[in-house]
Amino acid sequence: MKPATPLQLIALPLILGCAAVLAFAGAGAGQPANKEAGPAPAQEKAKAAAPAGADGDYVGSDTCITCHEDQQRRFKNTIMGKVMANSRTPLEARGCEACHGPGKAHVEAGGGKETIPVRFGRDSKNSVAEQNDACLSCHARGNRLFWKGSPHDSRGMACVDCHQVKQELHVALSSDGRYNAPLSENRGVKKSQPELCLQCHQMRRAQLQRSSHMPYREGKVTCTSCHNPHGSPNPKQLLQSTTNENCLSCHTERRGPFLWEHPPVMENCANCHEPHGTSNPQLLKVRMPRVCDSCHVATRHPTQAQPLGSIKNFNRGCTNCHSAIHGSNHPSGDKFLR
Amino acid sequence: MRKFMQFAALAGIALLLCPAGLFAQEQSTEHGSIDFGVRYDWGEVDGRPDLLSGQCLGCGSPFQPSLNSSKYGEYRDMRNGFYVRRFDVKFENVLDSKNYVSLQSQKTLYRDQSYLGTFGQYGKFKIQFRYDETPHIYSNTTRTLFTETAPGVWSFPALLRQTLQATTAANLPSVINTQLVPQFNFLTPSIIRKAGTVLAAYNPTADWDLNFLFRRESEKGTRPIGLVMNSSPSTTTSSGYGVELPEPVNYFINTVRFGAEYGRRSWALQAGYMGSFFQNNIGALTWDNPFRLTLESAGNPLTGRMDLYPDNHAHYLLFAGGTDLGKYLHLTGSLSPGWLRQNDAFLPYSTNTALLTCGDGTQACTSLAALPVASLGGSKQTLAMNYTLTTTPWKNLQAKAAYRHYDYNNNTPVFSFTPAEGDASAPALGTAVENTPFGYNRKNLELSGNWFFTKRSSFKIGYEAEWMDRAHRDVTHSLENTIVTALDLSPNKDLLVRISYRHADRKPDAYLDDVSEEISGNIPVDSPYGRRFDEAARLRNSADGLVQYSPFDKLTLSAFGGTLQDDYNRAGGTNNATALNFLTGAAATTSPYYLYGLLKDISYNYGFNADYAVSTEVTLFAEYSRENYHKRMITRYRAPEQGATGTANGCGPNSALLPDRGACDTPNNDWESTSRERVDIWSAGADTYVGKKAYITAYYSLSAARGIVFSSYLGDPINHPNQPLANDPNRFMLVGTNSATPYPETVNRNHEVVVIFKYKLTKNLLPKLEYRYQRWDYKDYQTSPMTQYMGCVSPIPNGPPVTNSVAGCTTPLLTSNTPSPVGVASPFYPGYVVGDTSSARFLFLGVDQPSYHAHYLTATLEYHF
Repeated sequence: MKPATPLQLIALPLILGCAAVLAFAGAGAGQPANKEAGPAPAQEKAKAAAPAGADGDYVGSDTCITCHEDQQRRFKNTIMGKVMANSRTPLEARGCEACHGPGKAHVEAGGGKETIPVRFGRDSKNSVAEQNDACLSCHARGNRLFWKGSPHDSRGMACVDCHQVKQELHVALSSDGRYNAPLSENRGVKKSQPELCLQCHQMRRAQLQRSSHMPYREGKVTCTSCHNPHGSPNPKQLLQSTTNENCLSCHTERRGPFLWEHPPVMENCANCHEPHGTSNPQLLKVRMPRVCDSCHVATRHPTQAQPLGSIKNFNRGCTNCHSAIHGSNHPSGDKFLR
Repeated sequence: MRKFMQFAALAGIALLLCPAGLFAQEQSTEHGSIDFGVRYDWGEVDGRPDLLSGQCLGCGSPFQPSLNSSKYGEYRDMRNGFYVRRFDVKFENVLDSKNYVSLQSQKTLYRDQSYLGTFGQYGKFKIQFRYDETPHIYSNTTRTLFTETAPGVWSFPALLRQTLQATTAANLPSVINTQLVPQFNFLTPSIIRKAGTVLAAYNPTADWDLNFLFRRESEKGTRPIGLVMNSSPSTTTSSGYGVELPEPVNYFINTVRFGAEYGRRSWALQAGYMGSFFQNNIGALTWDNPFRLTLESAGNPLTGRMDLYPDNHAHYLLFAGGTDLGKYLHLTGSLSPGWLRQNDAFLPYSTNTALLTCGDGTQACTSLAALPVASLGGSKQTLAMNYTLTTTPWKNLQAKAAYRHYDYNNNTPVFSFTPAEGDASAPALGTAVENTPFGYNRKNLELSGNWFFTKRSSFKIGYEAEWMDRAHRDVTHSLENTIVTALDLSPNKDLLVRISYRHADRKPDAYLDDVSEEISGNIPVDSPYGRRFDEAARLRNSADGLVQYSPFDKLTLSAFGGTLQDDYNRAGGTNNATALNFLTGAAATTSPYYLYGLLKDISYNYGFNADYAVSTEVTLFAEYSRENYHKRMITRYRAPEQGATGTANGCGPNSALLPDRGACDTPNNDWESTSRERVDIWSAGADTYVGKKAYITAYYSLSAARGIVFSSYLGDPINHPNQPLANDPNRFMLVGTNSATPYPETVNRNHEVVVIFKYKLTKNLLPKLEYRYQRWDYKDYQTSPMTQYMGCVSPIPNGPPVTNSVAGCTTPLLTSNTPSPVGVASPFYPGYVVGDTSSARFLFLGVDQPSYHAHYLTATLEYHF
């Protein structure tokens, strides 16, 4: 019997896993619809958990649903809806009013958008800060810890510019766009990445089309692989402390420390490379040998213009020979030849 | 095997397709979907007709590069047949609990597959497994005669080594072209990354978050690497050897991360650890010198050895927190120390048994005893600290003060080494080289204020400062002051205007390149006026703008533009106070410059997008963008003086007053180079609903990039030509192979036509037909001529084409009967002619990614259950 191939090793557990998942889920098949189909426990909890002093202005989600049944039907299938169905805090227990504010005035007015204390979206009367405050009342932690004062915050971006709450969990699979997106559990965004980010960062759209690119279009890398759009303490909203730490989290072989180091490499990969895509080989900002010539005004070959057919020009240019340009640990590697 | 896998996949899918009601808790809720079917692609690689017809030099017998290993399949597995584009299944309230379980997959069972499985309870816990495969194919034109006899050991047939050793320099090209290259075997350099991640997160209460992550990634395969056996990068008929090999890649990368967060409404604290462990399972690359089998000598090594990336590990701690300070202030901070370590055992200086002067001069370079230490003990410590204070003293005003400190402290010990360059050069004793552990410290301050004067409208102004301190670099201290301003304006909900501007001025205290104080050949080793752009004085201006306008619901227009302009060419300060030009005034061929290196780095871009809903059934969209890049540098051809036995260079007397042997280091040999690039992107398409069930989307896009590297001399070739003004320190040297001449244009165009038809057969079934056509045109003077042997092609020099035939170089046959004359430009290699031996002893892989056109058709069924 032949040993199992890696593909088999992956596929078989996958299939068995699927079967197990389905069987696991199927244990409850045929039973009556779950409790969510009946009166939502969240609302019951909301009433119970709401601070007594605030009840005067809060009417409870049950009251909201009498008119907004359609919104409730969609909301309950969102992640937020699921969390609020099992509320952990008094705020979550308020249901609709946790985000939209107390509904008494709205109810007494017989409805009307203008009487909703907090509404979201472009036609809201609320400021962006007011809208965001509603979201941040629960979501100020985790990777949003550095939201305040972040570039997107200071440019007046609202959470709902990118996120949508009342969206059912199951979205259509079809990806007809030009970019694939990595698998993600995050279904509360209006578009999948990178399309979402490219709406504003339109120059990046052009760069992602370049011949020399990381696998963005193929859906293996995306904007949030490197950046945190909610703000980070790091430059360019990077996930790691520096550009290099970001790059080296995947390209760990280039991390060193090396015996012979090339200082511009160790300081900033972006000195030579443009990670969003270029038309030059190896994501270089300028092709070789000019990328090296820009700094090396020494003697002999680094200052020669290099004819077209020179070994220092064609193929990989300088790195035809100086192939350890990112750093060498060879005792004879001081010129990055080894 | 493949059939079994397809069967297994089908079985799995069949399970998924079982009526969801059997498994589900909620009869009326959708549980997921699957998109599966068949796909087929066809087309051809047509960018290298010379390979196909066998008319190129140094490329062996004719062959057609494969489409699926071309640029078309660079990061993808494009095999034909059964195809699961994606599936997604999710069950809520499993076993009548509050738990959910989900599984997603893309490109199932192919080498670019992804899986994401999650089990959890919203707001309580989550256990997640992710698996990803990412291929990366580098070339589909590569061939070699090397074979890997052990991990990292590449051998060349001994008989051929013997043949090449015995071949005279004049006959090398002929022997290589006729006897070696036809025997080369195909090889596709490619790697594949396989990464599995386990993530666990737990919220014991709403205030607590605990998380753990483990990721293991393997990276295996080969990628091209160039290796020279010489002290300098040259492989002529008289000195040096070179090979291009598949570098073996066999890595494991393990990442461990865990952390905890505790927080309340107004404050939060985070603490965590991340460890990253890199393991290279092949530590060295050893290869045979194909041109030498016996009689090893200092300049003629029999083998070479390269140190591949050493194992390393890094550890980081993270502490972060944020809190409200009263009603109007908010403080966030983070502290992250890191430790980077590397201690792989050193290799000996060389494998060359003829090199006997390493270490103290009495030890063979092949001996580990010659090394000052067995391993480096590389050690770096980093420290990132950030503090941000934001305040909203008034409702519409936000102010921010942020301070950031990043320390990259290199504690690696310093040792003295006597390197044997390229396994082919005996170290010069007394000129031992020390490693220079580079480190830096960066501090940033940001002060800014935002005034939100109406809804979605704001004005920002700010000041930023960056202090940079470096060890072992030219600039030890610099300060960059920056002013930023931005305006967002939304007079109504249909219009949004965003503009921003940034002005930055970076000033080093001093610029001192230590190497420029070392004299060799009677001139400084580095030019005293050379400035490295990443640390030199710089004036930066950047601006961006975006306008989005929706005059009515059916139409959305947006336009954007931006520019980034870096100016390094500033008189005085750390640059030269007076112009360095040789020719000045009306005779000057360029504007004054005050340094060597990058002078200008300018880019600008603009574009627009439009979406128009013609009717409820038809929506049209169009995009256009243009980018321009312009980088200009100036340098000088500098040649040290010649000794009494050296070649006369005509550059005046040397330090021993021998005429015509002086150093050439005057501005008359300055030259400039400008890299320009223009990229245009067009796309247009339509989304159309036909009735309520059919949907068609179609678009065309074109990404077209053109680049040129333009070079020219800046001196005076008339009054100081090659001859007759000999013995002149200002002698003009930029002639022949030193000419600063433009390189041919590079072209990169990607056309894509896509048509997708979907039909909603039932509520749950959505058949889909997708057709894509891609046409990629690529012409690059650096790679388009690449073959296994480049010793017979040369550039068209700055003058009449060469007419002499280089011995041993055959001419390409343009047709079966018509050889192209030697010295005439080849139709296959833009800018090249036949007849050069500058890389006479270098065997390449012939790495290229030629143009292609491809059709791609899929017929799939999207089933929601």
